[in-house]
Amino acid sequence: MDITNISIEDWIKDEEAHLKSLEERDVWEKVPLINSNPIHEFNDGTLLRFRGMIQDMHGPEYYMVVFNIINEQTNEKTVKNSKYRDIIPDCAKGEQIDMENNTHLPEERHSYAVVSVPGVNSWVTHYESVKYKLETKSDHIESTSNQNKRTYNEAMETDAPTESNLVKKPVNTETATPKPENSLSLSPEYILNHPLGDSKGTVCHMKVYKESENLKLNDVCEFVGFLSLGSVQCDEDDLEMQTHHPPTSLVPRIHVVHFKKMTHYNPLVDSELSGDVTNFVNIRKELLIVLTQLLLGDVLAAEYMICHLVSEIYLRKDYMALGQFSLNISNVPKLENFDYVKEVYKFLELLVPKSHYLPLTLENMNTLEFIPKKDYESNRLNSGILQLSQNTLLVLDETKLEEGKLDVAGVKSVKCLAQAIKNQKVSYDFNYYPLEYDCDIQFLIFSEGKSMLPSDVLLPLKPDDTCLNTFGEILEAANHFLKPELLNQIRIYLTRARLIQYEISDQVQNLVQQEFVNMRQNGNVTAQDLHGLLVLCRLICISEGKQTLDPECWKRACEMEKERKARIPK
Amino acid sequence: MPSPVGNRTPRREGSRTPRRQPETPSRDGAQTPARPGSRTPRRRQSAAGEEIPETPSKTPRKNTPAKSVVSSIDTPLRPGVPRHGLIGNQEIPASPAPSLAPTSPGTGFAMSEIDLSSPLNYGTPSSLGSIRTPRSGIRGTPIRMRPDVRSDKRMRQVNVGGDIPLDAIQEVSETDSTAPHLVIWGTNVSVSQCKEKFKQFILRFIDTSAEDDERTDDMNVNEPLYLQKLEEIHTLDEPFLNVNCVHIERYDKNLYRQLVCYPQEVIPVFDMTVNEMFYDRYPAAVLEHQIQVRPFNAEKTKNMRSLNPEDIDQLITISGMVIRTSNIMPEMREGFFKCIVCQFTTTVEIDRGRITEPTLCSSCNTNHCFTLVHNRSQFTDKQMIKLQECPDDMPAGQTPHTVVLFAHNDLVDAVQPGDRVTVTGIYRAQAIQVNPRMRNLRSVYKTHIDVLHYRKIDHKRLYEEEDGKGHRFPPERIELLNILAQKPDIYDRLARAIAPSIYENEDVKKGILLQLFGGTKKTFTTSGRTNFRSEVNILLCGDPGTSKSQLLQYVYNLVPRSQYTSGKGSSAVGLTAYITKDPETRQLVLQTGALVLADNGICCIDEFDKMNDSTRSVLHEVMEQQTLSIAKAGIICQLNARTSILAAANPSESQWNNKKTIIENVQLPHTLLSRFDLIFLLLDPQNEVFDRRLAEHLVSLYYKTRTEEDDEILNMSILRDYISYAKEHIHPKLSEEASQRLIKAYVDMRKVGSGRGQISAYPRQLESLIRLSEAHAKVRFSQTVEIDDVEEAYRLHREALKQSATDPLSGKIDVGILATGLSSAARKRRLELCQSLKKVIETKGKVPTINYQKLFEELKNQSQLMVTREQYEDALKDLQDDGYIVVMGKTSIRVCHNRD
Repeated sequence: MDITNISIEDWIKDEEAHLKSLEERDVWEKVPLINSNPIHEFNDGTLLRFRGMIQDMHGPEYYMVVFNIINEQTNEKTVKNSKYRDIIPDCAKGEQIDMENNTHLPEERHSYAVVSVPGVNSWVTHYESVKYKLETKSDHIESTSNQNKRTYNEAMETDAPTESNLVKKPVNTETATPKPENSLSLSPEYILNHPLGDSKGTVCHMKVYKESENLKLNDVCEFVGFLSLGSVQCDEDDLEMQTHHPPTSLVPRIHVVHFKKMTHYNPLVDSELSGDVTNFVNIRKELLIVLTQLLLGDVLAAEYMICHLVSEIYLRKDYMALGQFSLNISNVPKLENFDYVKEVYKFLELLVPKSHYLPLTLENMNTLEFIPKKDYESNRLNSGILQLSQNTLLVLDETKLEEGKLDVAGVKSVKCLAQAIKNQKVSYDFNYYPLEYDCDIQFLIFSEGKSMLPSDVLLPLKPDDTCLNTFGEILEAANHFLKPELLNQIRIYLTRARLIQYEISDQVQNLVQQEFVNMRQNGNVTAQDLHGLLVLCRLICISEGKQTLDPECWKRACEMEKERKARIPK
Repeated sequence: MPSPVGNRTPRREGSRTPRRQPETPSRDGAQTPARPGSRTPRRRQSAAGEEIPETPSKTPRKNTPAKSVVSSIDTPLRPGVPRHGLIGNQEIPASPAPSLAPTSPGTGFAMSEIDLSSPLNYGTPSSLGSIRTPRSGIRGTPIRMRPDVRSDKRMRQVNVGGDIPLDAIQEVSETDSTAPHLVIWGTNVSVSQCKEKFKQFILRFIDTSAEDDERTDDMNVNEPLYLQKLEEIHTLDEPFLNVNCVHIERYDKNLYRQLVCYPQEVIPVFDMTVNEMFYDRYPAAVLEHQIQVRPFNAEKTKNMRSLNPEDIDQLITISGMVIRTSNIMPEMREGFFKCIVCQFTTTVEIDRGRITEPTLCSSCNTNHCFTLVHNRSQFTDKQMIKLQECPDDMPAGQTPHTVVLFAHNDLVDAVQPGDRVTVTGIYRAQAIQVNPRMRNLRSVYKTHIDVLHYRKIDHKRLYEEEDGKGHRFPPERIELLNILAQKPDIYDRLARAIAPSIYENEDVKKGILLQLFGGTKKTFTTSGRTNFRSEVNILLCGDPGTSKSQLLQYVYNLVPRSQYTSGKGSSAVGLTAYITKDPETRQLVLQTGALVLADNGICCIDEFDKMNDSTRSVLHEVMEQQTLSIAKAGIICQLNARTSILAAANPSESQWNNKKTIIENVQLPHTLLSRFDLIFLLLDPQNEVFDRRLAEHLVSLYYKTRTEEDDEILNMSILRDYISYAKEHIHPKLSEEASQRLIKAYVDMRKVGSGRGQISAYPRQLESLIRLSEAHAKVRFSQTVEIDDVEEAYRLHREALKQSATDPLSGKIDVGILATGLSSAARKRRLELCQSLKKVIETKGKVPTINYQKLFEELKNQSQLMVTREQYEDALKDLQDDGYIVVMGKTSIRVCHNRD
């Protein structure tokens, strides 16, 4: 059976079998992806796929699973199913829904606001759209029909309920009757509520019927479910009702039949593939060359940068996040013709699937919302910049900071950033109390002096004079050097390295202990330093594709730390 | 429910209660004589031969679509309504008995209605006599409908014949199941039985351990609780009877079950019973309206997250925090209609949430001629409230759930946003109609709770119960905790379970453990001191990199109500409270700071030494009086800050200076230091064995893979439960021996403290010792403080300050002591003393024995320095080890001369 055309009725008839067939990769991939197709291409009730991050949880709602229908003429009663729907399907003429006599217990489903993953880089979306963009009829008739050119306003009005879309009746008939604008109508930006204020982001409301307890805030998942476009009219002037039921043309609703958590967001890497690490070393070398040049000839900085790019929180123990590796590159030069940090970011953007560049200007600090805040009026979580999914690279550009006054909001922002960097936790503002949520964001800070924000690793850059003068050429060369093929290899390499299972053998463990004892005898080394060393070891190790720590890596880590510490002015 | 279809047949015209008849004519013929039998569609359905719902009570009670029903017969009796007369001069069919009595048991087709809105009805067969006699009281008390229960005005009852098997209805089968009896339509609740049971409950139930907010001052706990409450109603004129469901459950499980499952039916029955009893006792009483029963504390559901469709239409109790309250919404209780043709007026009461417009004017026989006259209609207050889950109930990574509450009448505006409340009410679900024109029904239900009772977590309760929501542990959990408590090494185990990722520092962890448990709460109202601090304050002071901050972080994450601040960034204002202007209301609002927020929790303050003096001075009051006085912007108040303080500070020179004394190193004012029960010095010992173990520990953190964890018995959740259980249930008292030992320990401390650069002991330290001992007893789940507890408290107190490692002469810490156990100066001194003692003995010549006490005196006289008894004993021991003397008991010393 063609899974892409399955109707809700057919699905319910044999749910298990369909779920099973969905498990096959080919079938799963065949389901159209909303991320790369505009929503108005689909009809109500189509099976769709969406990749996104859970931005808010709207809590449980009860729905009618089945209901009775009475035929008024024959008094015959039939039972109909309303699972995976918002609106009870229309009944034929002469039939009536028997509301008074509903003996069936309602069931529970959970509602989520899911946004397209914040900070996804353009190469990922491009790749996705190449792979999943559907050949639709609209592509051919684009110019002839105005159907696809719905603007937001139009779409809201033409949002014909339920089956009318199926019939594909001309849209214009309905637009003819203008509706009075609702006094409370909300801006699309407000409705989208995207963490990074990305107006191109897609937002869907998910109705999850099972295993919803596995879903957590900020999880990145791939959902498969039935599209529901039926509009829900909210005649009340209720802000909550409006924000929870936005126009479906803007925020489609999807009734989820199945979802998968995504461990990474790199479309080039299949999660099932086991680690093929043979050419890791070579790719690493190539990457090192590029990064060294970009970091103005500083090999050490390039090494640290690679480690930073593969870092993640890999274990939380008693509220300690192990593996955090926020990097502060200080002593960033000011170049005449180039915005250095921005230029570097342009390359980083090409390498990782998710990243975001944030210049820490006074204005940004004072005006941007960093932490999500619960709005009780509309009963939703207003997103903030720090609501990012795991393994997102956040580049903070402190070189943009100027003298001036940081107001109350600004001070709060700095505090939140500092807390997030220090503990990898963001405390969301629930007005009456804060609630802490774990995060896993890679913070990369560029600053002239030591950053005002804390960091795990402080690394003063040692720019090479010749590199400083020829930065323009370096950029060109790097662009030339990073051929698409190599770029893809690097992308795969960075994601794959992170997925490596890492261990420490007993021997190395003893070695490390011995070394630590020696270090302690020689100088002032604290437990914190050992923590740092162990994290660095791990990163060096996995960046070389090794699964177990060997003495070589340990030595390298020690040397790197030594060199780095020597650079820090006392 | 197996009752066959026949029993559910709609009430037929014939089986109408005769009681109603006299009423109808009395209303000047305003009513249509007979109400169409199809008042509820529910009944119509059963007539159609439809299958009977499994549990009809659970089906969402939907509003019946407007039916043209004229139902204006029974407005409740209100004062002034010219209906009183009726009662007097009319032969009331005073006994509804005919209606209740089954017409004939065999048929099983009897159905009756009790008009709940009429006080006449409150006389049921059981209390016929009483209701008939003194009538005045009832007359003065109007009956008010209960929108919260949303009771049908008339209760439909079905006669369940004896020949019908009732296997699913245990409570019925328990009683004489063969006898026919009436049950409320759709349930298995028999009105008469239910009434009788509840009456007995009120008459008999005695609770000796009534909680504070249920008790009034002069209540006798040995008398029936609810009879006293009735008396209270009489005195206070507050016609509400709060009934603790736990009491009902203890008294009669079935009654409780019925109440929880069919609150909509059972609560009116309770109302009826209570009113009967009340007017029986106080016939002359006049109340604002009839007494309403408000049950609370139903065990059904505790957690908002566990609410599910099964709970619909049941009595539930959940707790949470109020986040939003709406304005008061007037809800029509009684519509006033006027005929536009003949000006004839009529009123219609709300029936299951709807007011049905009368269609036919009975006066001029015109159809659809009525208009609603708003300002003559009656309204009740209604308020929407949003309740949010408490953060403690939430699994990690989820957002809190909210639930909508509707409060009616007296309960409107009873709570404010920010309040933590426990709500008892009936859970409802209603389908939403999208657009009547399009007949599109959303398949989603709107849910809310009709509030019956609020229980605020108020000041008084907070004092008793730590967290306000009264932890309820399942029995198996309690058993597990008790088993754990029996283990002899539980103290060490628990200490190890604290911050396992932080290496060693056993004593610090023990100290923090005791802090988590705290001392016993005591009040000395008689002696003038209102509050006696039971919280333990701890200061961690020591070298950088000794994981002080991690310990603080751990505690902050472990304890539910805790705050974490850094001394560097916080101001006095941030710690205490500040006044802001609310941007919307323009009112001054008191915003509480960290110390107040940590009330009943722990306030962790990092970088205590970086705090400026004015900020620190705020702590003086908090740390001893446990209150916080504020006088700002016209707001003068005293807030509770019953918080334990866990502070961390670096030594004044950022590194511990061995050449300085403790006081010089810590550099905090004495007044503040003395308020800490335990001051831990965390020093970096810098020796190889320690380093190796530390390295091993750290590497193992990284070595263990992600999965293999959580195998420990004592994980955080158990630890948390253990602590809260102990805090709630264990209140140790000092035993006689323990008190003696405490006195001795204190005296010893005073002696030590006289040395230079030491932190000397104040009476506060005695209190500290008591608190610590109590906390240690709590760890063992023991209700008395034994000597062992005191010993441990004393040991910990000394250990914390490294007093054992402090050279009493110089007042400096000898780090060598950590390794050898003895300071170099002390060793030297001991040797000297030994020598001088030997000399003293030698001067005695060849005596076989010397008096123990006398020798001590002589030694003291000879020496320039002070010699303590311990030192003397140590010296003797050294000599004995050399074989020079033999100590014979406590009185004499034999000198061994055989060497020379």
